[in-house]
Amino acid sequence: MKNMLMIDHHKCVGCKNCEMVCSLVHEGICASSLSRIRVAKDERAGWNVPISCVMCEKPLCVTVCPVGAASRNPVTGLVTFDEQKCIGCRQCIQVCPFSHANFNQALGVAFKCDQCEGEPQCVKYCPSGAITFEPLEIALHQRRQETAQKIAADTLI
Amino acid sequence: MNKQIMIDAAKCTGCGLCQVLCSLSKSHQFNPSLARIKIWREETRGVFIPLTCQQCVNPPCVNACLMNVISKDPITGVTVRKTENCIGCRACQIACPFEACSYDHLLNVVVNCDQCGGNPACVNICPFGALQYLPVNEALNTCRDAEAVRRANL
Amino acid sequence: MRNIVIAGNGAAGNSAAEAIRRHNQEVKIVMVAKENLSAYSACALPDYLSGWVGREQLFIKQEADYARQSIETLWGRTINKIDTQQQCLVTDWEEVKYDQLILATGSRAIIPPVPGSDLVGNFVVKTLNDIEVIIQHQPQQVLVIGSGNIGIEVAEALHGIGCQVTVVELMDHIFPRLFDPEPASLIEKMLTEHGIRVFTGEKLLAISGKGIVQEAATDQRTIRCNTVIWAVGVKQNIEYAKAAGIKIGDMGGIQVNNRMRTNIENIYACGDCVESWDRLTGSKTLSLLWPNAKRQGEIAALNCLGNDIEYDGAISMVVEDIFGVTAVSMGMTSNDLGEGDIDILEEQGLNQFRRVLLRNDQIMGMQAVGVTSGLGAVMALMKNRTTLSEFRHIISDPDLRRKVPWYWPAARLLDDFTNCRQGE
Ligand SMILES: Cc1cc2nc3c(=O)[nH]c(=O)nc-3n(C[C@H](O)[C@H](O)[C@H](O)COP(=O)(O)OP(=O)(O)OC[C@H]3O[C@@H](n4cnc5c(N)ncnc54)[C@H](O)[C@@H]3O)c2cc1C
Repeated sequence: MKNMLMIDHHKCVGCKNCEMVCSLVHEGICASSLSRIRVAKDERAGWNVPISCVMCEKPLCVTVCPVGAASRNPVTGLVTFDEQKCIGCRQCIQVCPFSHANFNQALGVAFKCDQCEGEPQCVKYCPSGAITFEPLEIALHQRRQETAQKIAADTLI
Repeated sequence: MNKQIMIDAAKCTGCGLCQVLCSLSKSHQFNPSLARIKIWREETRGVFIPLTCQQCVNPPCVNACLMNVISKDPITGVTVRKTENCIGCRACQIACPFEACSYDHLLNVVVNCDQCGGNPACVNICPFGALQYLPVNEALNTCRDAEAVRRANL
Repeated sequence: MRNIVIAGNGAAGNSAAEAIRRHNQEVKIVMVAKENLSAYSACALPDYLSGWVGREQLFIKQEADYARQSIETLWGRTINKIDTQQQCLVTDWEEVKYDQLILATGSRAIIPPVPGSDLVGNFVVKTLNDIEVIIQHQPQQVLVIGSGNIGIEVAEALHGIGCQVTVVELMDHIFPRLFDPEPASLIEKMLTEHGIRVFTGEKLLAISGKGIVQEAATDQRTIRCNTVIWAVGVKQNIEYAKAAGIKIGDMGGIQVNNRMRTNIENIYACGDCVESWDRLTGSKTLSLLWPNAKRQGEIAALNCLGNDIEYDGAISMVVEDIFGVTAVSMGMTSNDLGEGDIDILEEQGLNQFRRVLLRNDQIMGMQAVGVTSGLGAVMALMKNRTTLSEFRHIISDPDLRRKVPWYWPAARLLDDFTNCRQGE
């Protein structure tokens, strides 16, 4: 897998632009319930957490799917659902450890993030930079730097 | 399809009340073998897994039925059967991954959970909350919130 | 207005009609069929013969259902020709114009040219009419030729209404296409215990009688009988299609691509009359099963409406009731796979048997007698091409295992085998 969808929920402002653009590009309408990425928020506690697919190496949704509609591409690492094969039994939804897999009530099929063929639109339209799409090494490097800076700042003061 | 019987096997103790109540409400007998919900018992491992109809939107049983008696109710989305025409051939049982088709040996037909018309007896009686009757998306939202809380608090 | 014509009123034809109506209320649908009856399920015919179900119960649709779905019906018409230039179907009554045509004319039972097979008292079991003439004939001593699912079901049905039944099978075991020799012999034992005589590896040579069947001679014995039921196979109803230039495959069914399209534009085909391929092996097959016919009909219809939906191949699944004991065959048999490179897991108990056939660690077939629970899950694993190692990996991890509830029943079936044979 080349790029990874990294979400830094500390940067999320909870605008839900990602939900709007995601449902727009995939379903042609702006509707949170049809968005792949979802932002859970608690305004009083003051957090916003965007949740999308982490593309597990050993995805439970693939294991639990009784009709082979969920599959993981061993080359790209992309986990996808095939709408034509899906029977709408919702096992993937019940089993996903991150509550990412979602269900389209109107079509009766499960859906999930497909990383927009390598150009995730949620990333493009995220105004606060909370969602990034970059190679794992770069993302890790970034995180490491940020953590290091924090530790340095704490110990220096 | 609005609501679904959600199963949390970790909470199931295998008490079997769901089966007793199901058979009572469907066949007027206390007889777990007539229930439309099964508990898969792995007693040596202490594991009990309730299995019942998952109300697939496009269910394999519909395709497998040799008498075309199974269909999706267009309004409720429940998988329903015209049991008058069922010949009890069990093809649906073999097509269902979830062990959700039960052979009703009083009527000699195969049956599945119909969610008791929206008030499922098994859920009402389950003493441990292993069975819950919830709108799918609402349940998903609850789980997602829990996941978000977990992440926010890390 | 677009006009879709469906030839055939069986499983495939009706599934196609219903799929069209589900997605499109506008197009005109015309169904043409030879039999002058609304659709019924051929699978229940043996049950009707035995009296287990009534005549009314056989019907999967009433005349009113067609009207409600605004499907025009032309029953009692034999299709003689397709004019692919003018896009019209020529029956013995009229010409029916089509914009798109779905062929679902199924198959017919064959009677081989054995001496005496034209005597009164020779029957096949394929249509409702066949059953009615058998009942009228009042069978007493019955000889069933062929022991596929139809042969055995009919034998059991006739035994149930008091006939003395003998089954003769050319191959060395019954259910030659569905079961391996061991489960087949277990089933054979059950049949014999209930009083059905079964002779395998025996060839019928001639039938004799004065105008009516009285005796049949095999290469081993003569059998007194007043009725002979032929259950030796079917032939696809495709002659009219062949004449119109539609390609026919080597096995005798209409050739279709994975969108159920024939080689001629705007003509689709589905059901017993087509040659499809096996989902597990990809090899050509004449599926001849109800669920496959339904799925093919649906695919043909959806593609006809302009969708692009792929058929992923036929899969064999047959459930038999042998005097109250369920016998199931799914996927391939050892014979289909060729003994050499397969692994066999099996377990035999008293009146119970299960066998799993594996190739390259993948489940290719399962046969079970006296066991039903867990088979649906194994079927799903088989269709998913989950390997046995993957499966075992998941069930050996208690955390994972708990998350996939439907693996449990499969685990009980796929575990604890006493007899494992590895292929070369
Ligand atoms: C006794 C019996 C038991 C069976 N048991 C099972 C079982 O247990 N499991 C299973 O999966 N399958 C079983 N089958 C097989 C199953 O019934 C068939 O696979 C299925 O019916 C195929 O459907 P079809 O629509 O392709 O063809 P058919 O049902 O054969 O329908 C063909 C249609 O075409 C019409 N037709 C044919 N020729 C012409 C023509 N020239 N002009 C106009 N109309 C024409 C006929 O009238 C009919 O309406 C059984 C079959 C029989 C006979």
